Amino acid sequence: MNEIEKVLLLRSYDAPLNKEESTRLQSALEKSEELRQEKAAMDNLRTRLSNFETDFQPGFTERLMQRIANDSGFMFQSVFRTIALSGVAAIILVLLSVYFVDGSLNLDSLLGINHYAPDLGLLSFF
Amino acid sequence: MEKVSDKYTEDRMLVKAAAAGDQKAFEQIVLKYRSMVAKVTMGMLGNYADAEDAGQETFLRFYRSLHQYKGDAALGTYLTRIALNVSLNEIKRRASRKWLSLEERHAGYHADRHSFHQSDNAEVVEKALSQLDTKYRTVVVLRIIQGFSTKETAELLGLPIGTVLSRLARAQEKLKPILQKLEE
Repeated sequence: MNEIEKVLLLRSYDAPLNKEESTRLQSALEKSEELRQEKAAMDNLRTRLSNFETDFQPGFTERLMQRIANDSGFMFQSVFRTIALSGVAAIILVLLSVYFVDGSLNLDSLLGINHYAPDLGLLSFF
Repeated sequence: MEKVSDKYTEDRMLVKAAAAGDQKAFEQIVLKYRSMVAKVTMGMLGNYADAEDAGQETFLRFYRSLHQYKGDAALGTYLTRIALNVSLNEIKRRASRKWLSLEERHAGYHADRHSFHQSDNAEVVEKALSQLDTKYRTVVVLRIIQGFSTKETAELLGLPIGTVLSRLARAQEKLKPILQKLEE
């Protein structure tokens, strides 16, 4: 069996042959019993492979949908955790900035009224 | 042609509904494509338990990225790509488990076979595929089992068409005696 014709035979299953190659393969198939046997073996192989049918075990979809339901809960939790952590980080930043600006974390500093004397507001009011 | 277009439209609508939170729509997608995904994961991994895990992971990944699917590729192709990546990751993970002996690996390949009915042909094909290197098994699964064109297979794998053709030829050369032996 000619090696080039065998290569052409194999290629003919997966890529178009040009006219010259096609003619050469046809002619070789007519002449060579060995090549015809090779083609029969290839046909058998391709048929077996293309008829491969399989599926997951029963309950696959139900198990998947359950995982997805759990996954949605997990996603919600992770979003909540992200928001909560961002909030805590923001509060810490505010406290630190108040502490560095005013040198204290008392209630007046936090409310931003530590620079005002209690009667100053009344005076300005009158 | 119209049927293909209808199928794409239907798939896009299902994905859109699933992305909007309709779990029934997602379930329909799973039912529609589970056997296609099974063929990839079973063909690549053999072992039922691993193949099912990979199948679950495939759909879970797709679910988490539903909004990223724009419909540029057919849904089957998109899911095949995910299933292939998941299977290849599993194969890498297996390879890194040096402590697992070859015998154990082989035993694990068909461990839970008896718990699920499988046709004789599927059994023979699985056994034959398990004896191929991953690079050859991949092209066989995509091109011959899944029926993608050579060009689509090359695109899915990011390989030149010539490489796909030579791997297919080599894979078939290897498979022929294996199948003959299994058929005896």
